[in-house]
Amino acid sequence: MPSLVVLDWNAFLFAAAQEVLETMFFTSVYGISQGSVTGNVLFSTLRFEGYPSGTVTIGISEETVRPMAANFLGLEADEITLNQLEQVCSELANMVCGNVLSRTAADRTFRLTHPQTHQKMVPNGVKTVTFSAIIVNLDIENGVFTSQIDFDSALHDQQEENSKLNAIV
Amino acid sequence: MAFSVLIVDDSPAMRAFIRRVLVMSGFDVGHCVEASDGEEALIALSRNWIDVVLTDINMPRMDGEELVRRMHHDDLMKHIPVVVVSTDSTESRMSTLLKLGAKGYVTKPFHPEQLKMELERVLEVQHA
Repeated sequence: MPSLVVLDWNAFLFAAAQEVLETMFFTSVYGISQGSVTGNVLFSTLRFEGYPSGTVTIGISEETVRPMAANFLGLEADEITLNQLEQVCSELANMVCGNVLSRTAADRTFRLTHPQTHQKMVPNGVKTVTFSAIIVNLDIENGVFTSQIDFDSALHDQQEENSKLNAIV
Repeated sequence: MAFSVLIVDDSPAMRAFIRRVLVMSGFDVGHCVEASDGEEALIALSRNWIDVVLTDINMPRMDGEELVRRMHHDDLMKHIPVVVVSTDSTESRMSTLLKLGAKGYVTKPFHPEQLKMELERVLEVQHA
């Protein structure tokens, strides 16, 4: 079994977010952002359970996600409801999570929970996270997209637990 | 020939996207029916003529795996091809769904052309 510790999770998260945004939302990704999400931000989080376990969260301002949702749904941006924006963010989180896991551990089985989406006002200059193992901010059309992975425990601990399980089996 | 399609996904946004992608790709959609989980899908299948089913896996009440299993064991439904559309691209999941009777598997994210090609492939096999 390949070691999860040596995997470049930042690179996988970057690639996953880029592929999802460009393929499903027809949104250009320009590269890593030095900025952060601000304004009325929609955060969507889901858990993945397997080896490893943790959560994936994506964040994007309402202003930025509205034209993306229009692309996704085939509607005019100004006719999209808040409920539809939340559904689109949930799908976005779901796809980023599935994509990153398939890049790192396609031979394993994971259980994903349904994404939970909520809004939060983030003033300019305020960090949206205090701690996270993996964070990728991207410059995209109309703004910034943030994604992060938080593992339940340190990867080397999960790997050790998994090795013990394999030894017992 | 226009095909009747059943889209099964608990996300209305995803159902709208798939419907849109089918049209964008040039796939000949005649009638399009939607269901938000496996239970609704079985009801829709009993009430409508459906040529092909596109289903997600993770859904409340009845998931896509159970839907495929039930369809495969139903004499009237087992001939209807099912294409799984999911973010889950793990080998074990794909293998399980195909063994249960799914005829195709498309992993999200996908290009509109990919979905069209997979649909045409399973429908060609079906009508060969």
